[in-house]
Amino acid sequence: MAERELQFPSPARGELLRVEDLNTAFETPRGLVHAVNNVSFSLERSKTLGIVGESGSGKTVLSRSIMGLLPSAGVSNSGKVLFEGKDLLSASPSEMRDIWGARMSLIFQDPMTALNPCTRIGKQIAESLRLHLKLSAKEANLHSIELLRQVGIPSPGERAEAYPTQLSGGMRQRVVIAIAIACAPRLLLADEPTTGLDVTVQAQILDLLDELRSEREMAMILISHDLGVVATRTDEIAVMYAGRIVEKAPTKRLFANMRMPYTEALLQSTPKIENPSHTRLQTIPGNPPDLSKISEGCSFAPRCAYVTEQCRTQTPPLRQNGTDSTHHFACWNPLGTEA
Amino acid sequence: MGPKMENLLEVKAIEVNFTKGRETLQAVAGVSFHVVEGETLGLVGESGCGKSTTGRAIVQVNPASSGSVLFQGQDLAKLSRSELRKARLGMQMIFQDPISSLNPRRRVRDIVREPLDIWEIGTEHERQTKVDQMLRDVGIDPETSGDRYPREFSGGQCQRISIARALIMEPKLLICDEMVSALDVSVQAQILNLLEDLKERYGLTLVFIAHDLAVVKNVSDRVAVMYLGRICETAPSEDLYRSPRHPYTAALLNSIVEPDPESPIAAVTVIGEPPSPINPPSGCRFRTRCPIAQDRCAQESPELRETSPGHAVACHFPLNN
Repeated sequence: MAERELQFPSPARGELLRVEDLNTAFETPRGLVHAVNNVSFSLERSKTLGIVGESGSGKTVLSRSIMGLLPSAGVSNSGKVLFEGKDLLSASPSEMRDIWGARMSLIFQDPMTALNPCTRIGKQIAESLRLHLKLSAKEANLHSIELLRQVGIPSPGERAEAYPTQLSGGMRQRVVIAIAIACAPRLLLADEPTTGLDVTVQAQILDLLDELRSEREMAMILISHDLGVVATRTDEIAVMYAGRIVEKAPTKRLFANMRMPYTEALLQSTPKIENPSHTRLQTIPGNPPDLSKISEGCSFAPRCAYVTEQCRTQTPPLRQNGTDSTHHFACWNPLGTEA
Repeated sequence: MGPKMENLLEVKAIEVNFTKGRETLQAVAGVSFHVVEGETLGLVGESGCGKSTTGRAIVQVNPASSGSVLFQGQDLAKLSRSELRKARLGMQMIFQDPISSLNPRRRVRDIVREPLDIWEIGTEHERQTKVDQMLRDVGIDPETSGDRYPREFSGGQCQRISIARALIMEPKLLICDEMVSALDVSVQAQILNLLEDLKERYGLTLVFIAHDLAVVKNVSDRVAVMYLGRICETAPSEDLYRSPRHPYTAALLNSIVEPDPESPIAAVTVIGEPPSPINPPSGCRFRTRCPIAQDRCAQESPELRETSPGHAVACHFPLNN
């Protein structure tokens, strides 16, 4: 196959993305909904950050804010999203168009609706190759077949001619991934990339993402509601609750030493395969808070087993875990002892 | 499978076909199992394996085209319409989407009460008391919430209301079709615990259909694994999860992602995705994805055979664990 080597010189180390004090709120008839509150983190090149949280915790809005995909009407953003040193919140629409797909891309949850149903999949992949890499139609076509091969689609030459409806859910998600990585972005945001898929297919897709990430020295943000999905495939995990990061640590350290009661409660309420049948599950009482009615104090306080008066009146800041500068948590009465 | 305990439900070689134009899709291709009174049978498999269709065939929503469903010894297909309506009182179903399975224009109290009104059970006052009690049993306060509409509740609370509606006629058998898949883990745990409590209190027998293996293990006494319309393995749950004998069961267990960073990432042992049920593979239906398939698997369809008490597997070359 006459394939042109595509080179993207880029250092493999160093900071790629820094989010500083990001706030995103939506104007709604019920009032201002604070979906993302004071979120800060940074991501090194070639690393994977897992963002975990329940529905309504703000993880999807966070990914859209980073990508600059939210509409400007009715949405207020503050803070900074520094990507390769450039603040994306103040970037112009045309600057963003040069970044989307080429420097950072997003994989959506639903592979059924992420593709254009009326266009052959090969053409959908070729589109960004032609736009960003200025390949000729022929080159783009060959390269898109090569991409289909890389994401594990059998007989990619024939498949490039197929329409999305002719493919299964897992295959469509592979096509979505092929489009996302086509221009070798430095950052890939994967928002619940395996949620609608069967378990055997889920494992294949997660393996594929991890392989591509390490081959291409691409950084990844893996967003999921499932602690299992992020546990084995990330370098660092941020746990979100009510729009805030409530705990953040390198993956192994987080599981070994959880400080925030919510993180522990989330883990304990997940059924484990090694437990005997009919094991009573730990539950978190109540429901996640209404983001239009966020008041002072810890948002988890009404559901927390260790709540004190201070929790209800003062919002706990994200603070360092003792001398461990990689582990942060937001809690007045943390679990365990200082490391 | 001795006759020592009474079988509340017996499913015998059922097939369910759907036809569209000239094509026939066999969603369930000869499935047999039994459920003993008081136990929970988990029915697990990937999408398109026919687990939901099996559940719907049991309650005769889409009746089997061949085979039979015996509930309390009665062959449901042989009943007249009015007899079937009565028999169905003993079996209720709970669906995946808690919000769309409730009528948005009716108040919670009326939704739960409707079966009592239809069957004219008890006096006005008795019905009201029963509804209030039932709502309390599922953790919904009838005083503050009884007069509200489904849209005012979260997914977890709507699922509680669905449970109350299903239990108001005091059924023997509850068929739960992916009832916790749409819920967040913290809420899912609440509902699973609630289900165990209610099973105890109301003496229920459950058929629990789900794709999540950890959830199925948590609730089930026995588990049947389905693949492309057939059962490939059935065993007591501890046994099945500890020593799976069908390569498909082993592959499913291998694919589970555990919330533990120290757990090794198992090499994926199945390749590709399930083939289309419109044109299933000959012989063993799993052979196209099976790592140990041989010629015989293409020619001969393996029967479900008991390999140890209560543990049956449909494979020519079962794994030795």
